[in-house]
Amino acid sequence: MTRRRDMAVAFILLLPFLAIYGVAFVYPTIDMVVLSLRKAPLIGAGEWAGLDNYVRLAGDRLFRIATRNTLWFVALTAPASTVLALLLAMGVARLRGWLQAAVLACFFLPFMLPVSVVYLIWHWILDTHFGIAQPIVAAVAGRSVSIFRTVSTFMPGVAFVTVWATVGFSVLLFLAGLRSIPQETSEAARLDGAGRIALFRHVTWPLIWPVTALVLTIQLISHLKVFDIVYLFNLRGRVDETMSLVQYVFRLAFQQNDGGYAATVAVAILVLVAVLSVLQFQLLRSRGQ
Amino acid sequence: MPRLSSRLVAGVAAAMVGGWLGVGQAAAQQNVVWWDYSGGGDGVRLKALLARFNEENAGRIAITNTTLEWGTPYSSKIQTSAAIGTASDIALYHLARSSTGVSTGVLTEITDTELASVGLSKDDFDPAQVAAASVDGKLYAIPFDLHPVVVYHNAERLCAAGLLGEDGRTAGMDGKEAFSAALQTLVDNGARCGVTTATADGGTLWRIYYSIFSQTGGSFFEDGKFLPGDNFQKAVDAAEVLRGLIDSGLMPAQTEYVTSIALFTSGAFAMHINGLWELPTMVDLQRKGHLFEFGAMLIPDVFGNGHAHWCDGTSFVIPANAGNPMTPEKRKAVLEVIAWFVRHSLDWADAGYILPCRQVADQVQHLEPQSFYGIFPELVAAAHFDPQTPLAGPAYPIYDAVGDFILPAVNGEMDTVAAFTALRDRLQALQDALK
Repeated sequence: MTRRRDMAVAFILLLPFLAIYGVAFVYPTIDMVVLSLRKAPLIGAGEWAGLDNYVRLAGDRLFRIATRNTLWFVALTAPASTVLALLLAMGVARLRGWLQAAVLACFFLPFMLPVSVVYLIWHWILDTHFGIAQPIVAAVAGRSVSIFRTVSTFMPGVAFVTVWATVGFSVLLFLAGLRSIPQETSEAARLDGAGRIALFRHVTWPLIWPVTALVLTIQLISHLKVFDIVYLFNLRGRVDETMSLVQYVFRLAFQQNDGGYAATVAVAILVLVAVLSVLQFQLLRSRGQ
Repeated sequence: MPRLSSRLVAGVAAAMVGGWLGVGQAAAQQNVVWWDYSGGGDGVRLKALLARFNEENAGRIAITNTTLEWGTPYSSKIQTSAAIGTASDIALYHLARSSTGVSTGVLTEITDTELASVGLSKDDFDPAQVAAASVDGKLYAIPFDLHPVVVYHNAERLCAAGLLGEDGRTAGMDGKEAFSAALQTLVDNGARCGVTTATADGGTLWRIYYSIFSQTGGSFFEDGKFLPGDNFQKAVDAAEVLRGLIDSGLMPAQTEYVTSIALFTSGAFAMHINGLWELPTMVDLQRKGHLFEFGAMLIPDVFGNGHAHWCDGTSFVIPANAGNPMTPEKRKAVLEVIAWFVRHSLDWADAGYILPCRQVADQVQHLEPQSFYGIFPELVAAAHFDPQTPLAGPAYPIYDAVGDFILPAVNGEMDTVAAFTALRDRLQALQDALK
């Protein structure tokens, strides 16, 4: 009886969430899959197309480029950002008091900026004619380079800006992980004669591995869905060669009024994110054990 | 105390009577919802006009305006909200977008009778504007302004190079070779570069490119085909003109929009190609004493076929709200609003736009003190609007294709013929998919 009552209470408490989840997520997702089987504009039912959109997807050069760009972006950002965040966190952890707070705030500040502001800052820093970083670029490349209008430098450039803007959040996560390592464990290892490198390899690293896995997973998922920063930097430029997958959906749906095919690409992204997330999670878990 | 309570009663009574009167007033008053995309200096001028309208028409018509993000966000909002019947009663719209708006069922037709009911007619506007505002002979938009592309020049530098005539007009720049030679002369006379434009910005590049292309006499889109027949070669030729300027160092490559303006206003560069909407920027700078003597001229006639340049216009449209048709009273009010703004477009023209309506333009013929106002009639005569296809207009597929193909071709990163082959095939495929 009590159990049944518990169930009823649980159900009543969960109902608002389930209702919103169903209306705002489950239903649109199902609708999106249905839309991917139709030849439809952005607004309107269109006509049944069976698997036509999926056949088109298989031979779509732009979809391949967008997939490649997205994976390239993840590869450039996720590992670099994780390693950098760990190094910064270990540095910050050694500081004390207000100095630690001040340094932490410096790293965290860019994370609080809206993406549009991040874009404007770096757009000016790297402007071909007036950018204050162009002398450095010119020293390396031998001439001024329009970083965001040159296909080969576009993704590394955007990845650099993304790491700059988002590393602060990962630093916080690592810092929390480092603080949770019991002092006794480190002291015991030190008493046993472990040096700094040995201490990191055998104590710190294994103990913060769960945080590392978390940081990598969060980045993988968020960067696979990258849109805003790539969109801002390639706006009115060579979008074909530099766009991300979500940007391709945006272009198809809102600029080309091709709702059905846009839904098909969206389904492909959903599958890609799900598969890669599960794969990574399994991989990291086995590594952790 | 009693005095206070009697005051209170009187106050409440007054409020009730006032409220009742207010309700009576609201029933007679038409509330018009207005959407626009003017956020910059022109937005300030537009809001001043809106305030004036509301003041003059208090109790009769009240406009509530919202300014939205220009480009794709603006047009998709109109499209999606019209589909569920919640779009505004009036919207500002680019003339170049008329075909797109009609093909997606967003716009309502404005009949001759409706125009006449507010004292306007198609004859008040230039035929090219009416054509750009119409689809299949039906009018869907009422022009508010025209904004073509012009060449701004540093009069001091041009004078020193002997390129400015007694009448303040440029001389010896028409023809491909003559134009390059003139730019070279400017460089020889100390300019860091001949001319700047936003070569890294697909939108700007389209306007400049389409200007040069229009001068070939070619047709970018005709009978459902992109660049048919010899138009393809003309398209390549036009791009080669711009590429030639970059290759010879007379125009800087990969320059962003604001940078291209700053390079000119800093005085280092002799000329700058951009829309007439940057005129207030120049005028304001000059008023503050931060700018040299400058002038505006038509883009030189490169191919010897006469002047031609890209032009677009802001216009008013009445969105088609699905399942939520407008009452005749509201429609009448909306048309009245539009006519009022067209008649008051002089204040808006101050934002660097050309008056579209002859009724207004004729009144101010005598107001042409500065040289750049003198070229306005020529600018209207040589105006070329975007190709009439749903793929045209700001932030739509043609603009995208410019960034993907014309931009790398002009900046020397892609073979011109290969770029235009890819551009033509892309746009043709999208056009065919519309059927």
